[in-house]
Amino acid sequence: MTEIQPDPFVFDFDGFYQRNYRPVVALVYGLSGSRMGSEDIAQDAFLKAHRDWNEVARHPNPEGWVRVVAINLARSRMRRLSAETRALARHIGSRTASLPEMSPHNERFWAVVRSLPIRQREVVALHYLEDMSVAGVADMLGVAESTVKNSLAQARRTLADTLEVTL
Amino acid sequence: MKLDDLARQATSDLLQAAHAAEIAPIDTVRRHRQMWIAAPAVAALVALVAVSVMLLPGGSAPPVATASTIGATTTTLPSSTTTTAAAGDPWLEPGTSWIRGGLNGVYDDSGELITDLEFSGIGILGGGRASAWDGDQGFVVVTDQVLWFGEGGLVETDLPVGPIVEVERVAGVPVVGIGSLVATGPTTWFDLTTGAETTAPESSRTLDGVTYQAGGLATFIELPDWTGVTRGEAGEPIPPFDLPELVVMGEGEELIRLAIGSEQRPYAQVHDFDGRRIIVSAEPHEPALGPRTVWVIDLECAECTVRIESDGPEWFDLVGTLEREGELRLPILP
Repeated sequence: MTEIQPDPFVFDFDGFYQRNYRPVVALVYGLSGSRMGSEDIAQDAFLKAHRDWNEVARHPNPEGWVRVVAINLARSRMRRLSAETRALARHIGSRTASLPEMSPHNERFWAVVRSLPIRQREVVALHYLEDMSVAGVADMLGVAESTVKNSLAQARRTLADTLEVTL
Repeated sequence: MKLDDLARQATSDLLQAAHAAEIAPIDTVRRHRQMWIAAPAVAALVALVAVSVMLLPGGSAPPVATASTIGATTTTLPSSTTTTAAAGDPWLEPGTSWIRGGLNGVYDDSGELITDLEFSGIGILGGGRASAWDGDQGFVVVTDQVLWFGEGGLVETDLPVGPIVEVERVAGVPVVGIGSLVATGPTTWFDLTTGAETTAPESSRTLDGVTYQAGGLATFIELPDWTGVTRGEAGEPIPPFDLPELVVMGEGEELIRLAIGSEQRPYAQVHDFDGRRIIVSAEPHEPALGPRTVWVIDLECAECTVRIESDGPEWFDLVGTLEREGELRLPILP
C-alpha cells in the first residue's frame, strides 16, 4: 500500500494541482457518479486550495487536505447534484461532461458502492482508488482504525453479496 | 470472480475515465466557475432593467416590493477578470423574522422579494448557509464564488467565500463571520468596511461544522446510526429507521432532544440559531429538489413553532437576534 505524501522537493501549487487533479476527479466521480459534477467539485476543492495555498502548503498532508475538502463537498452535494445540474442547465443551457462513460459492468460496481452508507462508501473509495492502507484512511477521515476496518469489512461483504462475487 | 478482481477492473476503468479530465490553468478554472455562476446574475440584471423600463412614465409595471434601482457596483475580484454586475438594493420591512433564498432570489417571511440575485446552489458552498442580515441595514449574501455586502445596495467584494456564520456590528462597524468548508474548520471574521481580518465579536455566534452556538447554547442535528438499514436503488433508506434528532445543549448538559423529519423526509439540517430561535428542516432523499418541511422554533414558546413548506433546496436565515427571557420549553412541531 502506498500512502499519499507531499513531495518535499516539488511543492508549488501548479505541481500539486497537476499531480492531484485527476485522482481527485476520480475519487469524486466514484463517490458521486456524476461525470460533470465530479469535475465541478474537484475544481472547487482546488480553487479553495489555491486561495489558501500559503496555509495549505504548510499542512502536513496537503494531498489529503484537498481530498477531504472534495469528499466533504461531494458528501453535501451528492443527493442534490443531478437535480441541481438540471435546474442550472435550465438557466444557462447545457454542458457536456468531458469524462467518458464507464462500461456498464464497472459502472455497476461503483453504483453499488454509492448505495453503501456514507462512511463505508468513502472508505471503499479511498481504499481502492487511492490504494490507501487502513491507517491512512483512518488518518484522512479522522476516525479510529477500528472504524475503518469494520466499515471496510461490512462494505466488502455487502459488495460481494450484491454483486454476487466471492470475497 | 473475486471481489478484489472486480474492484481492480472497476477502479482501472474509473481512473481511465478521470484521465480524460482536462487540467485547465487554475486562473481559467476560476474564470470559468465565475462565469458559470455569473450567468444567472446577468439574467437577474436583465430582469431588473426590464422592471426599470416598465416603471418609466407610461410603463405598466405591476407594484413590486423591491426597489428597482440598479446602482453602480465596485468589483474587486481577486483574478484579473473584470465583471460588472448589480444585485439590486435589498430592503427589509421592520419586524421581519426570517428570510429565505433559492434559485430565484431572496424573500422575506411574508413572501416579498428582497433581491433577485440568483443562486445556482452549485459551487464552493455546496449547501452552506449563504446569507445573513444584521437586523439593521447590513446584508451579506454569497453566490458560490462571490461574497456580496450591502447597506442598501449589494457590492461585490473580494472576501473569501464560505458558509456565512453571522453579520454583526462592533462599535458600528459591520463584521462578517465566515465558516470553513472543512467540517471542523474555524470561523474567520472580517471587517466588511476594510476587508481586513478581525477578531471575533464577544457576542458572536459560531458555526463549527454542524454545531451552531449562540447565547450560551449549542444546537446541532444528531444523525442516527443507519448501519444495517436497507437501502433502495437510489441509496435511500428503507423504513424502519431512526430519525435524526435536534439537540440543544447548555453548559455541557443536554436540554432538549427532538426527533425531526419522517420516513419520507429522513434528513435534517439546522439553518440558523440565534440563542433562542432555531430554523431546522427535514428533507427527502429523492427527489433531490423535492419539497421539504422547515420549522422556525422559539425555544421559549412551545406552541409558537412556524411550519413552512419549501418547494426545493432553499436556505433560511433568522433576521436579528431574539433575546432570551425565560425558561426553555420542548417545541411542538406542527
